[in-house]
Amino acid sequence: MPYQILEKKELGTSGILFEMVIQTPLIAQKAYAGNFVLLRINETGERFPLTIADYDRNNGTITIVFQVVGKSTKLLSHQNIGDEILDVVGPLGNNIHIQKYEYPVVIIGGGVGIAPCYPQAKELKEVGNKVITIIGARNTGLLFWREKMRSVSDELIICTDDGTEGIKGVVTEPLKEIIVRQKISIVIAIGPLIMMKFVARTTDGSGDLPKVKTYVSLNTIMIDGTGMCGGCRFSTVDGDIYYACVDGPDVDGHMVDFDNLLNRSKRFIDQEKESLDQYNHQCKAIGKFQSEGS
Amino acid sequence: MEVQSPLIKLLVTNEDKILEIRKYNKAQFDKLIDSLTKAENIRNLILEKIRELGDINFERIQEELELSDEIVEVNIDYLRELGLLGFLNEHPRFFREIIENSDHPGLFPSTKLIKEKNLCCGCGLCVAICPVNAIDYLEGTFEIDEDLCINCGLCFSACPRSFFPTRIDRLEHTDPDVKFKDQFKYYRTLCTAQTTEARIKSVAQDGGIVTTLLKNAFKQGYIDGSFAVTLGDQPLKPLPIFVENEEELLKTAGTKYTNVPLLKIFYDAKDHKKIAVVGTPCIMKALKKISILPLNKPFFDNIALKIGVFCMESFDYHKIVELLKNEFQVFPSDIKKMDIDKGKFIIYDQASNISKIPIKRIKKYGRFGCFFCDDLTAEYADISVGSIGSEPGWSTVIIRTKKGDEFCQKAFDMNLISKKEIREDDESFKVLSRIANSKHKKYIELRRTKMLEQPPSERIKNFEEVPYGLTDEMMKLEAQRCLQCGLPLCVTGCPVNIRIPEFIKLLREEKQIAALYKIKASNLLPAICGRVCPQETQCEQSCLLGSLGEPIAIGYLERYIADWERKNKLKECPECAPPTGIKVAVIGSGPAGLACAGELAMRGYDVAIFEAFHAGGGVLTYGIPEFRLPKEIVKDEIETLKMLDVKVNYNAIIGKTMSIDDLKEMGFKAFFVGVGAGLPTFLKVSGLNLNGVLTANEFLTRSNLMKAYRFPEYDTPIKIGKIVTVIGGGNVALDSARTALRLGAEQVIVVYRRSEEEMPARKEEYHHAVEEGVKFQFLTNPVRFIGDEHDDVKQMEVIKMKLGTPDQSGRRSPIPIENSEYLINTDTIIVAVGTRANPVLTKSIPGLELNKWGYIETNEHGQTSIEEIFAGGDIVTGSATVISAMGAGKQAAKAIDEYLRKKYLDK
Repeated sequence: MPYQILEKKELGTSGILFEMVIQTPLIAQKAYAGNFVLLRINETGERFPLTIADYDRNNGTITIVFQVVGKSTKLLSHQNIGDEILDVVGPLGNNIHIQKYEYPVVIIGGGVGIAPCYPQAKELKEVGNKVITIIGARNTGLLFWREKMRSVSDELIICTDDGTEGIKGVVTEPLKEIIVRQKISIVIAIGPLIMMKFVARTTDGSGDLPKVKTYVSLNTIMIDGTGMCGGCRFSTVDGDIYYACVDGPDVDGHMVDFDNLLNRSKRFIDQEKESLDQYNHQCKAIGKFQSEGS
Repeated sequence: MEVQSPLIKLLVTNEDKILEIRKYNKAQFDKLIDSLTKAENIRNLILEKIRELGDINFERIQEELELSDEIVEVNIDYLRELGLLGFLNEHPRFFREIIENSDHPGLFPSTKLIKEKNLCCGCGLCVAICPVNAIDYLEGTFEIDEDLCINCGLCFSACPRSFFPTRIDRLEHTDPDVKFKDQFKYYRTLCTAQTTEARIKSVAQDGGIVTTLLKNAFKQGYIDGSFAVTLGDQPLKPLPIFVENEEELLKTAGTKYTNVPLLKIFYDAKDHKKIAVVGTPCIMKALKKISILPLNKPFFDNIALKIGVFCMESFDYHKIVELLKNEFQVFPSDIKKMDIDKGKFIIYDQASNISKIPIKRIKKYGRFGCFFCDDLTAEYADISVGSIGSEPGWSTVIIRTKKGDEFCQKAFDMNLISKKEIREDDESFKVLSRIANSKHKKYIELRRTKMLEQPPSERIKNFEEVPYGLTDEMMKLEAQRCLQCGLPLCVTGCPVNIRIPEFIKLLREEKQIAALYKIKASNLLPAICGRVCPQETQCEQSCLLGSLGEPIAIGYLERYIADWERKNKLKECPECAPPTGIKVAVIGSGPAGLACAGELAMRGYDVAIFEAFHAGGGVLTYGIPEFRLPKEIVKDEIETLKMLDVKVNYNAIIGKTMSIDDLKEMGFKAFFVGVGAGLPTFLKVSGLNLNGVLTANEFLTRSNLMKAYRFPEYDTPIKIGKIVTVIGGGNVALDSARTALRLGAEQVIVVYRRSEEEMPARKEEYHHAVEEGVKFQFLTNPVRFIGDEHDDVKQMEVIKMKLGTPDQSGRRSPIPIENSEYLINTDTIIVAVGTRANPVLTKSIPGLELNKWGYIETNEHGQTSIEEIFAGGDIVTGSATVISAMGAGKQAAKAIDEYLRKKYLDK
């Protein structure tokens, strides 16, 4: 079944963020917020996960957003409209829990994590929740989907680390202000592990701030996606073990042992570098030049 | 130097017990001890001489001890069988281990072993020989009374099936009148003959030769008694009988097809000086052996004449009864006579009506012991007589020895028998030769083929297959070894009942394509099964030659024929039934799914397979490493299914991408669930989430499915440290260990909580692993994993175990030994302690009954609690073998066929 790339767009100005619409007639019918797909670009490619950022049941397509960080994402960024991805499988992972909450929900997207926040905000908004969205990135060039997020939020707060857009500061700053000034039912945070760790710490009630139930979306290394290999496993602070692919990827942020997860995410760092170096070398050899984003 | 051998010592110690039994009186006992002592002394001298010479030099031993070459050769054989002598690189006898571990050193075991190994030919010699009458031969087999038995092993040393001195064959016949033909060995005259006496003609089976010869021998006083077989009270049930005159002789005429332990009544003749014995080839062989061992002279010195009757195979009485019932629907009392002629088994009822069936159909009723025999024409008799090669009413007579010649000549001279010589260009000669050759068994001279393999030091550097596969020559030799048993136990040993002797016979005849079809009728994936089936616990374990330690290499042969097909690019499509137009969905493309899909396609169904991964094969692809099962082969087997119009959909997770209801909307009317049991079981230890700890599933999926062993050519990485530990004792643990070696681990240690004997892994792969340098720590269990500040694993704490009482599976439970903990340095830990059911699919089907562990409940046909959904393989049974999954897939396909026909087609 050919998974054709129907649209491709660069997001922001960093040169490393991309949005693609892929033809996946079956997956589009069953996709919900919280789900992800595993892609394999070609025969020698690895299987890697990307959250479904949007889905169109009528046209049979899904939208993915990714940041170039290594060989596979770089290779993906070199595919163009009309190209086919060899394998796309899904929808994997659990749907997020949707209900009309008593109080507003806060959704925080950090960096490329903004994309998976979109379907979650959309579905929560659809059942009548008040959605406060915070999107943040290192700088303005790495922000995207501002209008898209605004369209599914009651309030949109933008922040950048360097102050080039919106509030200067990390996403936990506006979060602290919000949870201090009003009661919040849940917080959803999707972004780099370190960001999710600090969001969870902010809402765990250990400091002076109130405790708020927090969900994070774990984007671990994955192979099979259905729970048979355990490669995506994470520990809880109590020492229990869960699989991100079948027990998540959206999980209770306060139970996650982020430090262990951070260590586990680095376990192939040498091979990842080797793979990327080799690919860059190949690209140079065939004359493919690209600007390295910051 | 006269030291009492263990045998003499034992007999002398038991003298009172032996005399009490009254088989021997004091004089006879003393005589036996005396003869045996002399024989044992000679054996002792031979042993000493060999020690002195430092070598087994036949000529010097003969010369210096002044013994005949016959005595030297036979006794050296005897000593070898006893394990006191051995040649280098000699294949150990099947009883070697028993002797080595025996409580009675220097003695043979009892013939109980022969019975256990299905070798017993039913001659009854052991009954006769036993000094304490501890053995009796009753219904079809013998029993040894353990309380009476003194463990002297005389029965074993006399038994023709325990061992047979090979040199006996060529020792006798230096006479120029003696000819040799491979198919019937030594003989002087070959003729067809008929009695001239009317009275004998009327009761004779064929030519009445045996009766005539014996009658004359009695008349002339050449013999004072004869052993033969008569019919007793039970219809068709023969009994051994000792006759002492002509009148009684006529009672014994006619061929009996039931086995009779004739020699058990040998002592009835002990007061007779010149007796004849009429018996089957095994009886003749037994008498031949006892004429030289263990006394170096005849044990029974009163045998004047041995007449052997031709025999293809013999039957136990209850099997004859079964044969008559199953094949003819009659009882023994309805039968007057049985015969075999021109390839047919014939019965004459009391009214002389005749019924016939092809002789092929009776083979399965034969005795297992007979399947080992390769002597049709009673090669060790003085005179051999049979119907093969002669017209009805005539017998073929083979005169072998001088003694036989004398007896026959007298009868010829007196015109009691008329004869015609059979010459080599006669049709009779050809028929007899052909049938004698067809009984010839190659296993006697051929050893089981040894598979050539990549040497361990080389193969740990690559992912190529370890065994090279049989060459055409090796295949031919191995195929010839097969006994072609009348009742092949290998077929029942195979989970899908492949017709094994048939395909082996076709291979022997170099009819590869026919052999291939014969296998594919039961098993569509021989290239896979030939490689990964644990034949040593299935077909090869049941093989009769396994009794001798050398089962037919059925797995190697199956692999040969599958590889032959690939090499010759045949890909012939088996014939399918006409299309039914009904769609069936198969979920999972592992062995169960593939087998089910293939079977359904052949039955005319429109089959679509739905596979979650991007490549098919299930464990065949992600679980079993390249060096045990090349993925090319799995791909090709799936291509074969496509030839049958089976559609394969990848990246289709039923329960996620699509539901069963979606499939129903697409028109599928029945479903087979073969999703396996892929969820890894985890240990309850701390440190599981350290870097460097992974499940075998993850490790193998990276290496096998994603080809991480070819990183960076393939993008998926895999990380192996220097010291890899693997926890578990099954095939998955060994696969992981051997893959780790090939990926460059310096040391690989397998940690298993039970002992070596209890490892569930295939013995063959265990040996491969040991050869490759994998280390094993048995009776060891992990306690916790210890890491450093980066969460990288550095050590594993383990505890020693001991085996306690058996648990429900029958295996002894391992119990930790207190305070026996220690640390193993390791930077990679692979957990391979089993898998369980994955709920992704089962959770998505409401109303599907599961057991408490999440496996699907089915009836014996594979049907689940939902009538249109069937299941098989690991998702039903828990992790098992490829072949049992395939068997389940096939069975379910049959059941699906029946269900769909009933529901939609039979209108």
